[in-house]
Amino acid sequence: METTRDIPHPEAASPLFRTEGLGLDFGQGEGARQVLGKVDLQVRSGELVALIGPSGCGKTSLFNLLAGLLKPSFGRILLKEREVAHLRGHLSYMQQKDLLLPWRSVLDNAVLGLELAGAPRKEARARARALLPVFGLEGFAGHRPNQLSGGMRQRVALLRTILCRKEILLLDEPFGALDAITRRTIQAWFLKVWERFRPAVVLVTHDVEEALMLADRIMVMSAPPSAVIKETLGVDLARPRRAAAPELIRLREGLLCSLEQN
Amino acid sequence: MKEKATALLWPGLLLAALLASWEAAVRIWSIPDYILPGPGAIFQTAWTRSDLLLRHTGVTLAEVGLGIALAFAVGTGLAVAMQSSRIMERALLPLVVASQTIPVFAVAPLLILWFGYGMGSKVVMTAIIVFFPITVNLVRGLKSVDPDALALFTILGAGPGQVFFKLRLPHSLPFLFTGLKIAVSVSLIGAVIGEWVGAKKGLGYLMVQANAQLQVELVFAAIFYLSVIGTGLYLLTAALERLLAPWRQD
Repeated sequence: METTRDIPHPEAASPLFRTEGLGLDFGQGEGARQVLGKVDLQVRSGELVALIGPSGCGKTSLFNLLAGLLKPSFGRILLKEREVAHLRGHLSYMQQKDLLLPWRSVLDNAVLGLELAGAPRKEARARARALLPVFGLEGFAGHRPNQLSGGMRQRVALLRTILCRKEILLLDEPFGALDAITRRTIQAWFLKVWERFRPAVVLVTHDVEEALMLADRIMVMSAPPSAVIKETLGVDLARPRRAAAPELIRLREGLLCSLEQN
Repeated sequence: MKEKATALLWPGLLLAALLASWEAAVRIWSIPDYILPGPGAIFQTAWTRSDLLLRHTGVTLAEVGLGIALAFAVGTGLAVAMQSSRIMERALLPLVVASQTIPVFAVAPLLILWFGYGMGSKVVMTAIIVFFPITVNLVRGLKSVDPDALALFTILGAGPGQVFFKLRLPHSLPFLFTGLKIAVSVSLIGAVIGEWVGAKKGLGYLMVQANAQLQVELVFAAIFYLSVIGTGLYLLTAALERLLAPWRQD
């Protein structure tokens, strides 16, 4: 069953972006509370990194810092070794909520990013239409979001995210709201899409299994307050992976152990 | 479709029963027409004097339509102002709410004085009643956009104009229609009160005239026409909503 692919070895390239001691305080003065400690995150081009940790450990805050929705209290962000305020313009961001606009059809939701970036409508639609089959949405171009299942809605959201053609993809528990069976199908399918477009992905998840099946590296975040990345595990296995593979079992043990210590 | 039919069946039957017992009561106790005419007499008048009634209906309908249009223009302006600036909201919202404590009946004579016996005063009176539900619901819609959706638009690089026209406005359409449905249901109050206080035309004027001449069946016929207008306006608004905001049915 297992197939081998030539995945460029992550060590080979210098990081596409990284953070240095990035952190966030909420509030000011006496009542200030540290949400995010000093986070050092490194992501290489085309790499799939999973961030796993207890809920409320500031994973979403980290994404909001990267996307420029929040301002860091300390630390810095570097894109290709150049310091930047945030990565907006270089990343697309997908949340657990699909955030599809109920008044737009599947196709018009998919082109939202292109449209807001000023792409001609016709061209944007043609590009989205060409990708509908890849996303399992053929024949659904004119449907409204409320006519779709949760899994399909999530695929429309991913199509909208992918169409922006950014080199970095932030996924905040994108499959968290789906039932277990749908989630497994959509994970396998997501790998295919990822291999086709090959953006650098940071995937936030609660799900140990999801991290193990998808990621090149798994980073474990510590418990709040002031979460930091406390451990990084490399998963040097070809995809698609079998949950029962001996090495995966060993990694799972280590990962669960590390999470329990939180 | 079938569910719709049965939904109409029971209230329809009840209404028929009520009308029948009304007619029976009028006949059994021989209540004179100038006190309480039976539904038969009322419908007969509504039919035989339809020329007169329709002429006045046209005037009232025009007043209500223009009043709603005026309220819509003012209400939209107010709502957008309140949404776009916190200071505007803090300054305007209490005044908008306070304006509702003034009974329209109390200002009606003044409005007649300022805007005359013609349609103008009735249009303004309708607008005063109607602008509140429109404004308040539109503000609620404009402000209730999911913060995550706003974040999505920011990340996708949307400017303020794009956020307004591609997110806030379509999002608030169903809220606007909620306001409009309330508005059309109460809009007739403004026009009719205006016509009672001082007018030369309109169903309210006709009612006052007929009442004075003890033509009570004509008063009832006018009320019947008014309720047809009200129902028609409501159904029209609901149809418009299905056309312009069809995603609401979820």
